[in-house]
Amino acid sequence: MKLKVRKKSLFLRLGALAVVLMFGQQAMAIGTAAGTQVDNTATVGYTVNTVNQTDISTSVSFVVDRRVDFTLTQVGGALVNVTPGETGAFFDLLLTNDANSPLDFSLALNELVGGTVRAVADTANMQAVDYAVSTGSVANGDVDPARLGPQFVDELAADDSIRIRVFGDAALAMLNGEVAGVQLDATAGEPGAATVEGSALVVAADTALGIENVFADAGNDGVESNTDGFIAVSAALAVTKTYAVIAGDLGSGMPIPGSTVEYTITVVNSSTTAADFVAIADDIDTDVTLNLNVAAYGGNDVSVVNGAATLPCDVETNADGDGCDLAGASMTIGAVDLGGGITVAGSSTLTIMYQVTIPDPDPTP
Amino acid sequence: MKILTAIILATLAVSAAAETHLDVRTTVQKEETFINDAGEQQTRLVAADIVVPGEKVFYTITFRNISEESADNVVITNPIAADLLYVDGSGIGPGTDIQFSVDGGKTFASAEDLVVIEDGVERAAEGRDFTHVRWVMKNDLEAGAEGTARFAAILE
Repeated sequence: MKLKVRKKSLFLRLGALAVVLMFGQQAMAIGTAAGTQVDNTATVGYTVNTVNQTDISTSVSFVVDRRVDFTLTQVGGALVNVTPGETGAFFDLLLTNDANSPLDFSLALNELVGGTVRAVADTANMQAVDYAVSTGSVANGDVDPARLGPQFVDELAADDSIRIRVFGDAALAMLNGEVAGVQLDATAGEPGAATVEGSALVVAADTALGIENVFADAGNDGVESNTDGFIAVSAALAVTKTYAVIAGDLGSGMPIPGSTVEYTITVVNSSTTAADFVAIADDIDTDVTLNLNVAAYGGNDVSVVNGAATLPCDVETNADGDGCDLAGASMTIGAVDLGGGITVAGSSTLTIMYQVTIPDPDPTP
Repeated sequence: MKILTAIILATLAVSAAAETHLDVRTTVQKEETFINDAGEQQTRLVAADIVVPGEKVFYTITFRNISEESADNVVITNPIAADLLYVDGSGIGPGTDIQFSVDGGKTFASAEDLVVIEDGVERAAEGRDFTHVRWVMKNDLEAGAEGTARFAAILE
């Protein structure tokens, strides 16, 4: 007997839906732009012998330096549901520049090995992960990042944000409930040259007219990280097959010639996700005979009870729309003519029962 | 005629000398916390080399009478740069009255006498409202004497 689930159904993806980004109230003021020269002039006026003297002025200046502050935050509200075998699933992270200067950012992606993501244990890896930066920051259209897009953040303006999208392909062998976490690191880099990835910012001694860096990000090191991940959502089916001798056994319970044996196949869906296109293929032993038009099954050849619903089943006629076919000794319940197969709902059981008679070569008269 | 000329020349010479009565200097510094020899935490002023938004800077103006005459009615006027916010109560000037302007330097008064109107409501002026600070010496600056004025501001 074989259990075939030909195709998975589509599941709801909690990926990066349209997110309203609020920029009205900044928690941290961006401040005077780095590179601004701030001048202070004091002027002294006085008299000598009641005669007004020429004012004397003196000035001193400093150049505003760069306060390096930025955040990398999750955009989605939960792990992204993926179907085993699904490609191109994704989540977004938002990089926000809170510095008083435009910044470049270098990025690095690593799959978690153990640890937790969204307070859930990381238990698997994706078949493939990669990232891409949006081609339009939030202030410039908030463009959805495309796979294989820019690999670093170029000249992100002060007080602007940009989305970085992490893509993942789920292995077909991924099991229901497995979690694949991914970590993205962003390192602040030197701005100034468009299309050129700025080298990581460093702390240096002051120069009179130059811009020095002061790290004010969470780690005070110019590097911020965040994680998010994918969770496999698939039906979890368990199939069992049992038999019982229900008649003609002379009270022995043994499958002796002339007795009737009833087989019960149960397909239990223990997940909350419906399993589509379920089909059972079972070979009837050539030594026994399949009972047809069983009275206990309301006249059906095979009892097919899916959850609370009883499905019609006539194996004598193939491709008649009931999904019950018999070809030689091979019986299929849930064949393609039933619109592709049987759907076993989440937390539900499909029960298939059929009876066979063991031939009696020497029937008692 | 000759005597008149001599007097005029003498007057001109005095006026020229008046330009160098005072030596005026100004510095900008930051506060630094350090542990002194007794193991206690102390602060001192150091050069304001690296300054980022949110930090406080201190401006100190020193004015010394390098002439042999008394300098009178000495007033030091200091506009507060657009990117700076005056720190309330930070003005220091021994022997001076400290006054502020909220109207771009047209009028000056002591801090407690200044009001501004915000959203149609009158309120007491604060450091962030001041456009100028000035120190008015109460007495003359005698020959050889030195005065100091200081204020602090936060870089926006």
